[in-house]
Amino acid sequence: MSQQLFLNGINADTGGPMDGEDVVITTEMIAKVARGQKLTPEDLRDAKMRKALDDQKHEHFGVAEGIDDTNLAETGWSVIFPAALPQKSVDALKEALKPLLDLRREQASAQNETFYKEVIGPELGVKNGESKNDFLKRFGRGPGPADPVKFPYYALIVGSPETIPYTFQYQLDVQYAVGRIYFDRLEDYYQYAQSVVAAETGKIKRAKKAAFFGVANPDDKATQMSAKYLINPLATEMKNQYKDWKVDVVAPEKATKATLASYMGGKETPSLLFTASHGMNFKPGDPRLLRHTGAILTQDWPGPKARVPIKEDLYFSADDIASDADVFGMIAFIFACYGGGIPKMDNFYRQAFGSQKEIAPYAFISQLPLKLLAHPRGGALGVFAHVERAWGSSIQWEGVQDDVETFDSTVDALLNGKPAGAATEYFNERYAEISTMLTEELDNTTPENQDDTKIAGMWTSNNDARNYAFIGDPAVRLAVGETETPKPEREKLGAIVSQAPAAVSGAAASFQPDVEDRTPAAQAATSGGAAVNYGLGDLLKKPESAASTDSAPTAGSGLNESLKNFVEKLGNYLSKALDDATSLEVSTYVADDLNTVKYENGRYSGARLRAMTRINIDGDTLVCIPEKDGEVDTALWNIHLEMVKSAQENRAELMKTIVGAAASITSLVK
Amino acid sequence: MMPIFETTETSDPLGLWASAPQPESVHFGIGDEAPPPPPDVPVFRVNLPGNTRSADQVFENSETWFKQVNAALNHVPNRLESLVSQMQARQAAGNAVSFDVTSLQNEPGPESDLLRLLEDVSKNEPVSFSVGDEFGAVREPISQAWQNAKAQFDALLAQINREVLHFVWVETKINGQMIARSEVEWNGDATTLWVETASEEQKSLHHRTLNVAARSRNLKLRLFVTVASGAAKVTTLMAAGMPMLALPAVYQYVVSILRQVKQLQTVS
Repeated sequence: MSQQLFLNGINADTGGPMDGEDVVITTEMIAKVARGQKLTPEDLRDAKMRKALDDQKHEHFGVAEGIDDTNLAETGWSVIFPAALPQKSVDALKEALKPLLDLRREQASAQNETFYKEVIGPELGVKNGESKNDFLKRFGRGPGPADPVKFPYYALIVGSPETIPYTFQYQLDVQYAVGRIYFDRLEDYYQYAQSVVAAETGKIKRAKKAAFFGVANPDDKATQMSAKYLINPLATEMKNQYKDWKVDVVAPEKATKATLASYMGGKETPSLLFTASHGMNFKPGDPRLLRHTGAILTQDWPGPKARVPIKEDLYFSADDIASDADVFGMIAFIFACYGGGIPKMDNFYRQAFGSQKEIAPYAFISQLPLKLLAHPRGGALGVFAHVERAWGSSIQWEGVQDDVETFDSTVDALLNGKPAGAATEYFNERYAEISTMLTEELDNTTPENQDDTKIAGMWTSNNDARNYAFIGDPAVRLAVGETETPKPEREKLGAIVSQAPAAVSGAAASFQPDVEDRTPAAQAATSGGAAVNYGLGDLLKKPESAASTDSAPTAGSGLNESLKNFVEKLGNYLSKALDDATSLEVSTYVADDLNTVKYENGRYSGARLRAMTRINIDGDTLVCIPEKDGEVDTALWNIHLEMVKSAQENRAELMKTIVGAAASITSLVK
Repeated sequence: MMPIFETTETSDPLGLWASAPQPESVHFGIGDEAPPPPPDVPVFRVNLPGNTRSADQVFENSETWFKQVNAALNHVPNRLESLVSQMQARQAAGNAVSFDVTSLQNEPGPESDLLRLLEDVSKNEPVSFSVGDEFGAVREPISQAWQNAKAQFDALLAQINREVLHFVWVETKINGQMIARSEVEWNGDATTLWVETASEEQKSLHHRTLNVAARSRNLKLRLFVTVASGAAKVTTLMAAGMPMLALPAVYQYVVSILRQVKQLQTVS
């Protein structure tokens, strides 16, 4: 029997599932996808090898036997650039990252100079479209555990996911500890590098404090599941095991945007933050796509049944990180669709429906983690987050609901001082195991004998495990101590972080971050909705310099105030009307004894609902037809239909007039 | 005699609905009393005669009225354009004071009232011209005429706020008996309660009541649009910072024109 699956993504326009009203994702569909997406023989060999090693030993994962994965002198460290990146950009990046590269060189080459590698230029860098195996061949490596003599275990990719694809990162991550950074601004690289160095050299330490932020939106199975079966057990386990840590658990009813702000840079900011929620998803052309994809949908959202378009006050995005946010030294784990980033093409659709579906102008890293990492007052050290869809099945394996061992082990490893790249190996282990099982299941059975539910469960769990990516240097670890660096000292250090040397600031203006300049593509892709501004209220805002005079009464304040109130209301109305008018509902009640009828909360009680029509903006129509003595009550139905028609016409006319009103006010104040 | 079109609003600038106090209770049937609408919710009620032909006539008259009001509002921009051109021509000809009352003798009523009010405004220098101060730092005229105009314009804004941006109740009575009531949301959603015994003909009449209420609501907003556009037009005659102050003056002007239309209708 086919089952519906739940995933952690919400479409901003509809307030409904990101795949649309008409698309219900079932196990049958996933199984179809899975059948078409077996591993390549090389990747399967790699996964199998990884699984065999995992079965043999539990202390060390991707790295070869006998190597301490917490010691860079034994594991090595590399930085990887795209092969085609212009030399000028490479030089600028190396200059901006110099504090970090110098530190890692010192650490990784302490015993063997070759354990530090800069993978740069047309010969060594990652070529467009090449597989991880082709890449490793250049260094004498094939599948198997990392051997730092050939290629270091820790690998920092410096490049966009468009130039060095996510799939490359996932596959390399199977045996290596991989992280990625990619910023548009050269100064951001410098700020991140300085922040990591400050943490790694013990200049900045945060208190031993963790926070678990679990959203559970009304009527939403995905977040209710993650709050109950992920956040709760993780937090409980941590409280029990780590008595020297302060553990904050933010209950769903308090998991609002305002609360999250206090944990993401505000006064409650911990050293380790774990969030579980939906991630925001936008249609191509939406001006918010590049800025807010993967933003955290908070408890403020009334849930899928409300069917309200989601505006910025319901989610926490990069724009909500305050300029004076105190995130210096923090590590975050964001469990949400697109929390880490998004590919250009939707793989699921291509596999399921045989056609390409473009979901972004190009693959990119979500802005929220990037803003945390490059904060000018001192950046976060890294963010572990999901690329593409996050599936609820990763915490529900074959009906065993409390299956969060992978998450738990990762948190444990981080708390025990492991570098992030090594701590997250549990996900790679899970990926290797499940992908091997999935491939074998598909190879050993024929489609007609396959259990769709089982295959779908494997596929989604496999994707979940595979698509977690570490954004940041994979060698960073929690910067905690018994004594926290006092806030004034943190602020002082944070201020230094943004003081880029002349060599960096001088090159910043002409810096081209990627192989291609994608600015025009982004503009074209998001120009669809950008031109319309219905924020009439903004017209009334005074410049900051004039704000101080607000309290001074003027003779004209009477008219001005009433007009201002009116315009603000009109502006709010317009926004609401254009956002919320997704459906029109006309209801018809009748009653014999009308004196008993009461009107409460938009409904008549004590009367019979005889006909109802709900027309969605996409054309879907729901009708309840009145009956009388077992037959359709034609008379009532006819008048009901007339009223529906009038309601449609009146709304159209009203909207037109209101837009006219907005335009006329604009012409007055411009 | 009970007015045919009545509303709990204090006035109707369009002149169709007569003001009636908000009832404490509404009769749905003989001797029956139903709960009153929620406080502050505008009620629009049409009291129809029992004779179907007469009831039809009521709605036909309202249709005529809508056409006339729309035509008058359509004509406002041209009239204002013409006035502005004349005033600019006078300025160009060397008349120093653009709103000199003595120069208005040949203008028709609404135009001359408008210019008087604009003259009141022009006598008051703005306190500040800085960007963003449009709503915050201008000095209003103190003449009684201007203060009256301002109070009426404020009332219009308040009315639109209530009627357009919230929900209203629309009721139809036939021969004094309520046959239906609809709660109409700002977005057009409607919930209608019918008396079970209402005939098809009576239902059709309530449908027409709903249309009149919806069109009136929309027309009130259109009135605002006309006033705002008109204020922008006459701004060319005024100093910077003044457009907001022109709104009450232009509103008075448009209302005067509508009054003329109503008078013409009454005469005909």
